[in-house]
Amino acid sequence: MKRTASPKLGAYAGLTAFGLLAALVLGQPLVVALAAPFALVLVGGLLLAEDPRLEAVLRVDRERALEGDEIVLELELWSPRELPRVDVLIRLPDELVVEDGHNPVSIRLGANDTRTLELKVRATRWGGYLIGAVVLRAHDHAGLFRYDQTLPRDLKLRVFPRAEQLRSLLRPRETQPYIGDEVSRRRGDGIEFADIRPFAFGDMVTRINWRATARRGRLWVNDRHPERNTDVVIFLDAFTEARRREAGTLDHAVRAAASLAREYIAARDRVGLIGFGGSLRWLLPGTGDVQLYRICEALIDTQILLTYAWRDIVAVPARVLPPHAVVVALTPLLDERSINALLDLRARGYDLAVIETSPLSFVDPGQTEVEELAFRLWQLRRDSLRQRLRQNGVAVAEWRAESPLAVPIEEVGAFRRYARAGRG
Amino acid sequence: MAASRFPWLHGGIAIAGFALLAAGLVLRRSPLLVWALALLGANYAVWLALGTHTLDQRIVIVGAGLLLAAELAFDSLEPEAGKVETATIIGRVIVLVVLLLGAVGTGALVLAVTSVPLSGGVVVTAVGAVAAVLVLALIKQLAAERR
Repeated sequence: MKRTASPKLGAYAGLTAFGLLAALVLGQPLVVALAAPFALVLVGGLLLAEDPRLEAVLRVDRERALEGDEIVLELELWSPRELPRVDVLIRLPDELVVEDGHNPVSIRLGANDTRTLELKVRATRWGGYLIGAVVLRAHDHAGLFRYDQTLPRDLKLRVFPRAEQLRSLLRPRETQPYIGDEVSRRRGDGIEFADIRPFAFGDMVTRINWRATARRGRLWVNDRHPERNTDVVIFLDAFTEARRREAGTLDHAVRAAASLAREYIAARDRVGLIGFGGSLRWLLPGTGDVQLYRICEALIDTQILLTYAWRDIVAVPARVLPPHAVVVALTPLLDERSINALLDLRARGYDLAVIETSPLSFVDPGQTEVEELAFRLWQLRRDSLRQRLRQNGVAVAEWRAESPLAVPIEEVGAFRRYARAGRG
Repeated sequence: MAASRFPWLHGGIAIAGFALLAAGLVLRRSPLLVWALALLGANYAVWLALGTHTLDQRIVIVGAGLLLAAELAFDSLEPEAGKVETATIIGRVIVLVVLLLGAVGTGALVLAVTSVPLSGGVVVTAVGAVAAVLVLALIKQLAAERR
């Protein structure tokens, strides 16, 4: 531990010297009685001062947590010497809020006594955090020295975004060849009835529709729709965000992405991820719990990195965007580059749906008439942008932070159903 | 202070001392506290020097009082440490009581030593000076070893 002298040491030494000098100068030996208590504290304190050899270990009850979860931190302290006062501060990121316990705290530690301090914190936002920076300051009995020690930050805590329950998901126009939960538009082996057709060589007897066969006088069989999986690519716009205090559009987008990934993977679909922003990141489509963890890990590392470099969808490898995949874009529609990338995707024939994480909740409409006018103009421009996307066949739904994610999903789904019906 | 020949002088020094003490506590500056304590102690020493030269037994209480004021003042300068456990506060109070008792004992010892009649002279003054220097040297040596 690093030892530093407290201001008291120099002050008491100065007062002792001053008192003794005054006694000599004034010829008053009695004045020594004023300086003697300070000299007593100094001599006693200096004789008793020893390195406390304080040992501390910080533990966290888990390495992974969900947003809103309570995490327990345990700090174990031990010293071979009695310490009248130990100041303890566990440095925590702003996103970890203390729910129970005291931080900082001053405690008394007995000789060879092990004390365990428990601190319950709540993770208020997703993200990867390094915790464990513990600042310890021990004082000696006379308060002449301080012993400082800082434990390095070596505990990792990954807080995953809390996923929302979704009743329905966006269904792609085309399915993939693997088994899943989505009823394919093709015909084959499945559960969902599709049509009847005349018996052909190789058809199984169990597929014969006896009622139709009896009515028509020849063998007819049932056709069914097979259950197939789908490829879903979540496009996360991380170019820019609208933020006010602790909340921002990126937070909502990440939570939505986690919810969608969980639901799609639960339905045995393959899910990929494109983080389109200052740092371009992607995950090839995959399925299963491992892929879900990969996506969540990638999501919690998402952050806004300011860049003026032009980004194009060409930069994304073709394998990340498999044919017949549905691309679900989560974007605040604030950056021209991501809007162009989405239009480019649509022009390449990808099945695209846009969930706009609305920045309106985070924007102040202004006080003056001019500011309010500017705000209305900005809203009109956004309406026009949405219209432009819809004209290109892209389903767009605005998602306000206060409403559940199911609302825009349903809106986008309805648009796609009507668009499909319109195409005939 | 009874029988003061210069009440305005003692009053002025005391006011300056308390003003410095207050400023030190408000501004959280330890040098101001040191000067305040030095002024308050000096006030008493000046009163002794200008007074009747009799042994004032109250000096024991004054010395302990100065120490208590210094301890509490330096405690107030400690950085905020959030929640302080009751055991820590009780421990600190016990230490303060022990320090006060020690201060009273030391003051009484000094008072007893000074009450011994000695004929003044250069030798006695020199012995006193050497003793003072030795005490300061001891403190410096201990501090250097502990740093």
